[in-house]
Amino acid sequence: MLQVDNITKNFGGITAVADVSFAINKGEVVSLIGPNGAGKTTCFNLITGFYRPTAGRVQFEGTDITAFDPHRVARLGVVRTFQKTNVLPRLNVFENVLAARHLHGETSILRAFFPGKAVRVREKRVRDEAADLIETLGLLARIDTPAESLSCGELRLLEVAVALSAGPRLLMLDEPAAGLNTQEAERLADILKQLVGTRVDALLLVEHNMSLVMSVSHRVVVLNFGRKLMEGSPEQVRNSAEVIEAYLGKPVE
Amino acid sequence: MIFERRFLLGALAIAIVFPLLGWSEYVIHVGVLIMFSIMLATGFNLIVGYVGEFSLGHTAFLGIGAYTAALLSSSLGMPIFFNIAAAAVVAAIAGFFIGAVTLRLRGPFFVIVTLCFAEVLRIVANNWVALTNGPMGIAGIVKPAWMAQQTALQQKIDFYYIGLALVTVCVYFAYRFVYSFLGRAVVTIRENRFVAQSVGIWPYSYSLLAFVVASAMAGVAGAFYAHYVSYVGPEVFGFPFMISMIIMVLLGGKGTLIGPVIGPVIVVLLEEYLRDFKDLRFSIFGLVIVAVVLFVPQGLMGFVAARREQYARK
Ligand SMILES: Nc1ncnc2c1ncn2[C@@H]1O[C@H](COP(=O)(O)OP(=O)(O)OP(=O)(O)O)[C@@H](O)[C@H]1O
Ligand SMILES: [Mg+2]
Repeated sequence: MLQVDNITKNFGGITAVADVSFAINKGEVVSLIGPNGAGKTTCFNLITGFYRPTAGRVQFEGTDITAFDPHRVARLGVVRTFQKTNVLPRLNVFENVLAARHLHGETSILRAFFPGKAVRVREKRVRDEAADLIETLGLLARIDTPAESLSCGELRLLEVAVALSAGPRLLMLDEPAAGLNTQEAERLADILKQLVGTRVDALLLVEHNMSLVMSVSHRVVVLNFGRKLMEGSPEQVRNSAEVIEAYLGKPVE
Repeated sequence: MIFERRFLLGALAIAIVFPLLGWSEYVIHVGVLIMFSIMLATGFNLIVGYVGEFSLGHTAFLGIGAYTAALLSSSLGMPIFFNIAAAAVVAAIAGFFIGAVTLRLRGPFFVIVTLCFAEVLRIVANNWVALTNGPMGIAGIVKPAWMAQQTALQQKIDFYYIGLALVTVCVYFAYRFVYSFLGRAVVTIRENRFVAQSVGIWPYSYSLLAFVVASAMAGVAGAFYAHYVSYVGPEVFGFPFMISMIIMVLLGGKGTLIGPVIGPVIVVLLEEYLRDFKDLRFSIFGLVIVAVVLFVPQGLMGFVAARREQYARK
């Protein structure tokens, strides 16, 4: 589905991402891991059009999306979350999920000002779908709660709900388990495992929680200092001396 | 949503009955000014309250509408309703082009550039004597023919009802805008531009649409004003109108539909009441802005009537 070829991004002097290539196939969960500052979030921004790569190419289902604006990338079905905030803090859970369903509720401008029955039927369907998604993620009890009042665990779930609500084919999550305790992270892992094949076609995950990464991924791509260090199955990555070194440093001789 | 709709319909009913209570000409005149201000504030609020950008140049479209109507009336003798429609279209087109340029900027840059556009238009109106008659302005905009035989009071009442009809149209459009996917999109942009983009919303296009609708409303207000006072001069582009608009929207509650209805009522009454204070008026208004921003940053209606949605559970 997604094909990333030799993307590079320079910020002034620093090279945040250098010559990184990888691909994601339909039905796969791929994780992108690496120490802090390795360039994972930058990769997300390059794929989804928030940054323009200095060099390289990104293709989605054969379409070259390298120069696309973010909203056009989303329209094609590539939806990402943000590491920092991925919600509209002052709006409630329902409004958040509904807002993200924008592409499914669009009509012509004329229809917006003079809605007919078709618009009302569609609006109702969009609202039902949003509520349905909230229920799936177990947030129904909090449906009227403003996002800023949610607990950390609930907030992470809402972030996933917002991204899912946009109807992605490829979902890209940036640290969805940040700040979660073990139990909450396991619950999230269960949800993520069920997504591929039901709600989305493929999943790209950036995550520091290794047990989550290892339990959900089919394939893992490791970045270090902006370069791709290795790619392989969770098993291979876990046992790679190079990866352990990148995370923990060289063993003392 | 329900609350807002009920409130607005209630206000409409009161506004329809109001002139029947035997008021003086002056009171009706104040009513006309309120109608004029609600059109302006309702449009301006779409930009400030929903898109979340602060324009200081909205008088550009007020002026464009006023001059459009004045020229159509004085040189071509076109009738009032045609002129109002034409003013809406011309202001919308101007809004499209000015918005297309200014909405590429955000925050303080947007504020300054919008202000520049209004200022440039004011200077043009002042100096392009062949078209605008310069600082003298365009006088003698003819009153509608049916008013010829009427008393001054009845003329004012007619203008009041024309104003009320236009307000109803403007508020209807604002209501539809806010409570459709359009409003949902602009609120998403206002709350988090990045999230908006990540779910497929193109911020520029929706902001521009809001800007165009707001410009059309200002154009309508301008044309209405031109016909009412039968005179248009360069001061329609001036800053005092802008200040009133800002206070009305901030005081009433930006990002609500009721705010720009209540705000103008209070501000126009206050302006009339303070008329004796002459220029000191502006200082008092300055203090009002400061007080509003400090003590009721959401405006009077901000807490009750911001755009809210709930899922109706069966
Ligand atoms: N907009 C920017 N301007 C300048 N430098 C940037 C910018 N964005 C990222 N960087 C730099 O690029 C490098 C990679 O950052 P990035 O955010 O992609 O890392 P990351 O792998 O997501 O790290 P983390 O695990 O901490 O989230 C860092 O050195 C960072 O300082
Ligand atoms: Mg990151």
